[in-house]
Amino acid sequence: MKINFTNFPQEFKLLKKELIKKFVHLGNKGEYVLGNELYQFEKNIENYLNVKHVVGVGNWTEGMIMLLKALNFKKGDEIITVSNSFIATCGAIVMSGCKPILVDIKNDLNIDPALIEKKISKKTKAIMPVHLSGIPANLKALKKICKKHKLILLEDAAHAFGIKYYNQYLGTIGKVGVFSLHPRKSFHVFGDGGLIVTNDTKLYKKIMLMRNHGLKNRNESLIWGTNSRLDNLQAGFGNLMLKKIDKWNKIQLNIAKHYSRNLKNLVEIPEYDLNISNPSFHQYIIKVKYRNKLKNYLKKNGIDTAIHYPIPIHRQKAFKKQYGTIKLPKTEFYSNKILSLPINPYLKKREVDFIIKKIKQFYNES
Amino acid sequence: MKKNFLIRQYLSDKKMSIRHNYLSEQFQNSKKIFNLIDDVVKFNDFTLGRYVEKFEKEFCKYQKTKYAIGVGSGTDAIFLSLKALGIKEGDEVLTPTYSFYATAGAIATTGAKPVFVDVKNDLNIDENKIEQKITKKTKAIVPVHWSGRVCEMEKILKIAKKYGLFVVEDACHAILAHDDNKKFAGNFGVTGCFSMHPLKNLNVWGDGGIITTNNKKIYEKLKLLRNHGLESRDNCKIYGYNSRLDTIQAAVGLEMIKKINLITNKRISNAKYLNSKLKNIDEIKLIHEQKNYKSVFHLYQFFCKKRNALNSFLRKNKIDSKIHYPKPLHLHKAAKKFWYKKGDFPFAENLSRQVISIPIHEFIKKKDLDFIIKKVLEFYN
Repeated sequence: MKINFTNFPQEFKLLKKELIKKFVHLGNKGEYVLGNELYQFEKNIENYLNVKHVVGVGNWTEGMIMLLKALNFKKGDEIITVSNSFIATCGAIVMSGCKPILVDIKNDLNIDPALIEKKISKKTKAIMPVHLSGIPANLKALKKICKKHKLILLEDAAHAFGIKYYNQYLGTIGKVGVFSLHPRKSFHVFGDGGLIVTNDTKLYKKIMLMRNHGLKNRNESLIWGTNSRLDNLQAGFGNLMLKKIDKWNKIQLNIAKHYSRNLKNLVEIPEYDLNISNPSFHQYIIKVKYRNKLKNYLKKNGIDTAIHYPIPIHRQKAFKKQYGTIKLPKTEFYSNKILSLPINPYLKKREVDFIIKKIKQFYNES
Repeated sequence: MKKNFLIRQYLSDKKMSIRHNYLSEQFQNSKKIFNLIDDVVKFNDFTLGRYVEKFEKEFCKYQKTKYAIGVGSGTDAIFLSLKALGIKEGDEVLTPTYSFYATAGAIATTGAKPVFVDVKNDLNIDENKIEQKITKKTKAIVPVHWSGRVCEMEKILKIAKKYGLFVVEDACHAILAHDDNKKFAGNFGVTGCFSMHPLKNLNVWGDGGIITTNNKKIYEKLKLLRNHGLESRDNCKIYGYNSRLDTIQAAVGLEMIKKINLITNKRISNAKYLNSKLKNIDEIKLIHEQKNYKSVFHLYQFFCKKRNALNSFLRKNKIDSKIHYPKPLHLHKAAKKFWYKKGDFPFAENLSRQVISIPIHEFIKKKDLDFIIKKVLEFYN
């Protein structure tokens, strides 16, 4: 059996008719940039997430850089976040001129609120939790800290579309949230894309200008901006995907539960509380002994796995060059133990069972 | 408030019969592109996939450069080029005051100050006014090959050399354009920045751009900068951005570039035809074409009297004439923070009151051109 980590061809096969129909519709209209389809997509997302404003942007990274500028953060301002994330989390902070202050994680692989306060300085402006793999960070605790120290809560919700935290959607709980629509995300389009969501009207208006050269209309530029727009075509695909995302998230949650039931005595399974949230498991991350051996063993058996992420941000050349060496014991400890198992809506039960069987076999043999 | 202004513009432009936007026509012949997109899916490579590389190679052949890097847009192309050259807060970058907002926006986004220079009567930067603007802080010049007409690059390069400045070409309009030595846009500066926005001569079906360079070091740096500074999936060498040409858009581009010679030639012949018929109208001043230069007419423009009245008259007759653009960059609110004011660049201000653009893309037929000419004549008589 060969089990890939993702299954785009299967997805495309199932959606092809609708996607092409949309493509032809928009192509015939000849509207590729900031068209009505994007407007509708933004409205649909507003309704879905129950948030006042949504802006479609080029991708998560550009969206975050724009956002940090829109918030008037200055050079040297500090933003607290985690090291166990994709490099862009930090990259966006650095490229906006701010300084990333990295905090260690808890067993759920998300930021540890107990470690934050001692990292707060006069220059701290915001806390940016990452809801890694779609499991919510402890927003209750984070909100409290933000309130106490007058900091802004920014949600890196790149992995977390369509997931409720109590009764609110992730991304809408802080002052502003940024989603990624990259093809690998559960909720995605067919190229780079991102969404900024907020209830703050002033901020929204500013970002709307910034994503399109600061233009108020075709001929008048109010502020210097950039070009970071979600393609109209991609928004059209997004409108189709939005109808399916709840179903997909549910399937992934069921796969995750099935994994957890069967693996809990063998490996450390992801920590989540179904009373708080219904995580979508953008990734299903286990923590294991002999990680690299297990990865190879599964590979030999045709099972594709991944690691999110093998080298934490603070261990990357880019970070070390600028900020020197820092220690984050838990992040480092887990980076050698985490392994992401295949999870996507097209994974069949027998495939999941095969993966479980092989993991069991590995630990029985060793 | 919520709807962005382009939605309204799409609606009003639809009512025109000779249109600036030809994308519906272009789309009718898209079977091959769909096959390519199928192929993208088969290989799972939606970001920086094989077609991006193929397209980059193909683009190099046409533009005669060593390297090309597909990025998110023409704006990003300029921004990333400046970043790769180390342009930062406190620096100054010279650029013409007559361009699309993105040129100055890209400069301002790096933190540098856009220092504007007046233009000549072809709307390109006036190379004779560059030197007086150079200060200790000046780091680079971004000339714009406006509407696809190459600037006086040899003179500009000489100035750049004298003062040790980088040159980054805003070649967003200038695919296939060259000077009298047949040196193509994108080969003069450290980099050339091209846009593939849907309404450019070579377009994709969304935002897209490409940077050309003959400098290997800059090429390597740009490849890092466009993709989070990643050397490999798990190794980040420098902090970077995310600005990648989508793989499906590269597939579109790969099909479109096959037609770029045809498209360019059609635009040039349409422009020549209009020139030959409009040159005798007293109220109209055509833009002078330099000998042996190849201008690719991303826009066909001329200067005229009673410009606004002519524009409304043509639009009433369903000819989609447009103004690119009614205000030079230094007069926008955005520029206020750099203390620019009215009267700073009299030449550009004057030209911006007279300039008008007429559609001449490859789907415009001779009878359309004749209709346009007839209406222009009618207006002035």
